[in-house]
Amino acid sequence: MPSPTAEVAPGDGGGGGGGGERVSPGTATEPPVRAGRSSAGGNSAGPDDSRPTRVSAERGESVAAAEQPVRAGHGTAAPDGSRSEQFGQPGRVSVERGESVASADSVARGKRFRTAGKAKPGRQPQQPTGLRSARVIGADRVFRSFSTPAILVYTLGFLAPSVYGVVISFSKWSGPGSDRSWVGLRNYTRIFQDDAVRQSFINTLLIVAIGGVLVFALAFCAMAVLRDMRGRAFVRAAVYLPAIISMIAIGTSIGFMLNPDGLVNRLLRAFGLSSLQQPWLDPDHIFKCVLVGVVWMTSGFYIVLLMSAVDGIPKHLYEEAQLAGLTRMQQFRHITLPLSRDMVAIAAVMWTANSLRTFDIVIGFVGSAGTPPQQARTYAVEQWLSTGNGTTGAPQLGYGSAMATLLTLLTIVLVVLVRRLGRGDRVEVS
Amino acid sequence: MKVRTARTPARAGLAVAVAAVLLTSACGNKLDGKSKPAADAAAGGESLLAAAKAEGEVDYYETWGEGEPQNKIFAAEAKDFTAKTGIKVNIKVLGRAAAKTLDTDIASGAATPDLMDSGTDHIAADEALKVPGYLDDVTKIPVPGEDGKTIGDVIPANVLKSATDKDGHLIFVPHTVISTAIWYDAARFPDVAADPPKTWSDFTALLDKEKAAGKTPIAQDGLVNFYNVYWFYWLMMRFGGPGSLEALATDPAAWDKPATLQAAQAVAQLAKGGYFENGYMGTKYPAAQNDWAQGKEALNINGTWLPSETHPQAPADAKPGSFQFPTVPGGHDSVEVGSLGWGLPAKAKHPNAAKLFLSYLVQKSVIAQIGTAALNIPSRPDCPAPPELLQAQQAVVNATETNATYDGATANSKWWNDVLLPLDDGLLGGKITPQDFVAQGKKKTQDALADS
Repeated sequence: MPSPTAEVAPGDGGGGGGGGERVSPGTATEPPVRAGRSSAGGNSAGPDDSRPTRVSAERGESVAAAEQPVRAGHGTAAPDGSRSEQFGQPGRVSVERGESVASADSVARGKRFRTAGKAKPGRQPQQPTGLRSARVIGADRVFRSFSTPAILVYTLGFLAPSVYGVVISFSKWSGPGSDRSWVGLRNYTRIFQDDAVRQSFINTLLIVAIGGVLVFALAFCAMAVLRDMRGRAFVRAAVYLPAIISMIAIGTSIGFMLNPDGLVNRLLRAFGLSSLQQPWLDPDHIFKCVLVGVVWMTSGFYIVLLMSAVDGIPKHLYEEAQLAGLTRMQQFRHITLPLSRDMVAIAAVMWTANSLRTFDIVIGFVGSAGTPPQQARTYAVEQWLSTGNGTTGAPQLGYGSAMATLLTLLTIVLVVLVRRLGRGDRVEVS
Repeated sequence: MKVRTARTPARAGLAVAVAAVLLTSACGNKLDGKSKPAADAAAGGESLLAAAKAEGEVDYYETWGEGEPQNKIFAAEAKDFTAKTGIKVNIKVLGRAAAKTLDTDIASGAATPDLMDSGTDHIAADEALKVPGYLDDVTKIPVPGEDGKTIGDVIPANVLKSATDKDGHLIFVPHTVISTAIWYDAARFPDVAADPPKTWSDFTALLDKEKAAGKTPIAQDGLVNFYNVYWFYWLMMRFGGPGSLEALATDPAAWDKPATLQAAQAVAQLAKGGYFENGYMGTKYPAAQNDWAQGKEALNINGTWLPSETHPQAPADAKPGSFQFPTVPGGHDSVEVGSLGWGLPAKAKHPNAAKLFLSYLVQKSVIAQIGTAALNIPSRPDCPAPPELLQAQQAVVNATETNATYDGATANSKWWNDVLLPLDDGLLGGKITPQDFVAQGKKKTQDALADS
């Protein structure tokens, strides 16, 4: 999937439709810089509309442009290579999605941005054939010399062990030195018949689903509230703090706070809420505590991630929206969410992949003395146990590898599904 | 035969290699201790000394931490051994964390020690990886300076048994004995110290008495499921005897035996009795045992490491003591004996030097320090344990019937983790009845066996 890149055309305050015609103002040795000719429709909301700045973004740009994204104004680059542009100066603006144009007025009226599909790829800048060939060969050589070590490391450090893991999954094996026997798909069929694995899998899916809803609800609230809040930098740093501390450390600390005679129950007693006291870590409650812990620890990361997309949204859109009387929720719905949808999709993929591997917080809650109760085990924890950890028996590496292989496949499937759900034409600002 | 050390270049190396090949193949003297000729050769003191000197060094991979008492004791003895024999001891201190990975490192060839730390609960996993060499012949090696007494003479059979595998092969030479008991603080509960309960009915009467006095009888770190299962395990040892718990993992019919239900009913009796602290199933280690150390609860069932582990939290006048798990009418009276010690990997490069070093390590002067410096129970009965462990040591020494830690049931780790421990948590937590426990245990064991 090509990474969308931005085109920037400073100056030129003409009106008209969105286009995306590209020009190459640079020399032959410079990467092409594209200037969109799209113009803004609608009314200016800024205090100075004498020098409007146009920004457009397209899908399917050339490699050169992708490798050297062009900044203009206060544009910011999104992690996926796309760019959310802010205007260099306040002035006339338009909001586009591909070739469509949605005016600021339409925003102010609370209309959704419309789209007419993907933008057409533009023409490539013309260059002399010989020079182009020489550049291609040179670039090819540079690419090889830089990429070969990385490919080697990736192959030896990741691909080979992964393939080896898949191979092991068809065997019964306790590790180097032990006898290995090939059992075909037996480990896989065992997994589907294993009550403990089933329970851990359900727990994991609950974390992905319920945890995901909670994390993104918090993140969306933050996107709506933190954007123009005073002291937002501090708040962001504060909510991000749990994400930089070891999950084991936090899990351990929270675990002690949740002891029957721990801080939480003491506080409840102190506030006259003794009836709410619980043995929080007993088998009936521990999974809920793990879930809350996961949300608390990870939401800061997703808040900061999504706020970075919000930062890229031109402020004057909100100013216009406020002038038009849109509520904060309407602003979120019609401006913030559509213009940060790419980042939301990326965050959803990251959440899915990461939460499927939830592990360390469970160990942190329970501690390393003993194995986690079945009610708290995630799929990763169950896999860890099956490979001889937390216990003294012979490890079942074949079984553990089969579990890992299935988890990888499931992660791929879910990530693809999430990507598909989040797929749509980008909303762009020009 | 004198072999030059590896300092000399390739020729010497070749000579050593040839000698090794001759020893292992042509002469039939395998170095892993499994072959009888090697055992015979090693058993003779003089021939072992000569063979050990020929090997010239011992590589000992230690999983005690730097500065721990055991680390200091063994390092000092290594120095003494080198001074007396000229055989160098290379100690590689890996730390406790390495205990979980050392066996796989050895199996894969990443680690090549001649001696390694081992323990009763490592035997099954190590054997699955074909790590250990057999040390059956080592028991015949004389201990230096002890009038011809052999290792087998100075370490009692009960303790050696805890270091043997199912086939009766000695896997390691024990230096420390581990057991389980019910612990009290004699300074705070003198009545318990004066008359510790001997039978299950005595025990429950004591619990009721403490409870009636407004005290919490038992401290339980309920998040440690293998502490929770102590109760069921011990009741199985009492009602069914050694082997009865392990049988539950391998034979679904064993769940139908009366002993299983009786043990489960006794556990349920504890759960229903309200003898544990509030919220015990959600208590995170080591909160409960620390509370016990501070006298908040009267009793704690735990391993022989408890006094040293809780020492920092205990009052200065604390006097921890223990009694064996109460007996039941017509039941068994076995004592748990587990141990820690030194194993000799099958792939050891200097097995004879390692065996000779072992004979020095089990000298009374060394093993006594396990009691005086490491504050654990020494493997030799003539080396006294610290006062708080004396009862446990006496029980081990005098035991007529012994069982391995958890009756060896942990060897089947999948069943242990996924069947027994969750069910036991349900039973001790009062969530399932003894009948459900038995019924579910049987079914899940059947499923697990069919699945595996």
